[in-house]
Amino acid sequence: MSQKETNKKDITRKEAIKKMGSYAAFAALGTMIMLNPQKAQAQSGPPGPPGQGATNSPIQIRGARRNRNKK
Amino acid sequence: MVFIFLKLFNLNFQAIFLLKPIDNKTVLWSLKDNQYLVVESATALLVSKLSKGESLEDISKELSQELSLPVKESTDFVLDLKKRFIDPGPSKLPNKPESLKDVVVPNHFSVEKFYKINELVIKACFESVQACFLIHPKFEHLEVESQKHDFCFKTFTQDAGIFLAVDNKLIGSWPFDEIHYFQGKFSMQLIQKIHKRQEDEWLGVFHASAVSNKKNAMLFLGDSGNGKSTSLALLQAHGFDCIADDFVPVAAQSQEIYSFPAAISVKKTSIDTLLPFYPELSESKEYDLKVAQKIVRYLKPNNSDFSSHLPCKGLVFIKYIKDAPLSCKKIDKITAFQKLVPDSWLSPIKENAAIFLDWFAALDCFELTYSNNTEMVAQVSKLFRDEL
Repeated sequence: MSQKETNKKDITRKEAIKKMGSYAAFAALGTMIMLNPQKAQAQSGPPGPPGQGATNSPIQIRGARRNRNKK
Repeated sequence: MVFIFLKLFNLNFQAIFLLKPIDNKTVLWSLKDNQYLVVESATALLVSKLSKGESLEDISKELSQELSLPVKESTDFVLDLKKRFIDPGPSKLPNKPESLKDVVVPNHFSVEKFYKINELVIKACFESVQACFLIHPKFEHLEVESQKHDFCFKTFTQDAGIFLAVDNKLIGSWPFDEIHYFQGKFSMQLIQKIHKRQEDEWLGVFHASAVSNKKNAMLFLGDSGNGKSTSLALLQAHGFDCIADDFVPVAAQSQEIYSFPAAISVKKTSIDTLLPFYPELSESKEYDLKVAQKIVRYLKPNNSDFSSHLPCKGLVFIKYIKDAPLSCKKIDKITAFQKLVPDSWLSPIKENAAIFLDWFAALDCFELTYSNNTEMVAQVSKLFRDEL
């Protein structure tokens, strides 16, 4: 691009601010927060008999309640 | 002909999402994936226009003029909105469980428990002691001798995971790494029986504690470790009623909080705080939730009428911070919404989603930080009396 062509695209400070404002408003329009509820009812509970956990049973709590929001 | 087509098209558009202004934003709900999106109200207006069948070109042109932007950029933007909200796509909701017709509900169970909830007797059969301990500790305070029962819940395992049947009808199966969903479904089935309402009659189940002053209820929410259950136990020691802990159902029709009879789970770190009010905790069994990295004991709720249901006065996001001064302030709804939704089960039915949005929009939301229990109890009393 030649110097002459570049100069043609120069804009004033006022125009630049206006343009930035437009794009900021445009960016705000496109900003959204996505929220996914739990896919099913969930509840925490003990994994096994008191003091034993369930490490030797087929029922192992690998997805703890506190981590259940991680998708 | 064209008119009829457009009318049908419009109906289809209107059926796939909901719009609800909350504070200075708008919440969009999508039927396709039961997803909530918080957007600028101006964006919601564009989606609304698209849903009414206004042309992409007209909307893009108007946006371009309003923001002094090139038409191409505004067109791309509106096109993206159309694809995201309007154009039908495959549902991302979980599929219904595959046919369970080949699964045979066993006849023999090694553990049988009977629970009495109001006048209702539930028989719970478990294939093993381990399976029993997934459910029983929270309901041990309701245990009665063997007797004639109203409903029979059966829990058993097969290769694919854990199964639940109620009165020999299979409800579902869950892989072993989704035990918390099995426990949730067990509780859901239980509240359906206690309150005589099917799953589609609930607008949601919240991961919270619910406390009442016998006229109204409040939900206490917060991340694990923030003191939901401890504050619930403290409040019930000071004259409030425990409506529910950990699993709080709200009915769609009445939008009231319904009682759930499970015991309150008290972390080991809170035992010393609660012992002066509940000496029985010193003798309670201790359960080691290794993966959740917490040790808990279960405390019987003081509420014996598990049919109770009360309107919700507000949401309180509670946080215990050592040595922190008491602080209680109203928070904006959008902040509260962002905390509430990801931790809740919300009905995927459109009518219920609309009720949920209206219900939430009308609620007051507070943030309560405390370290002194007496101050916390006094503050909650004030909230119930509208004296913030």
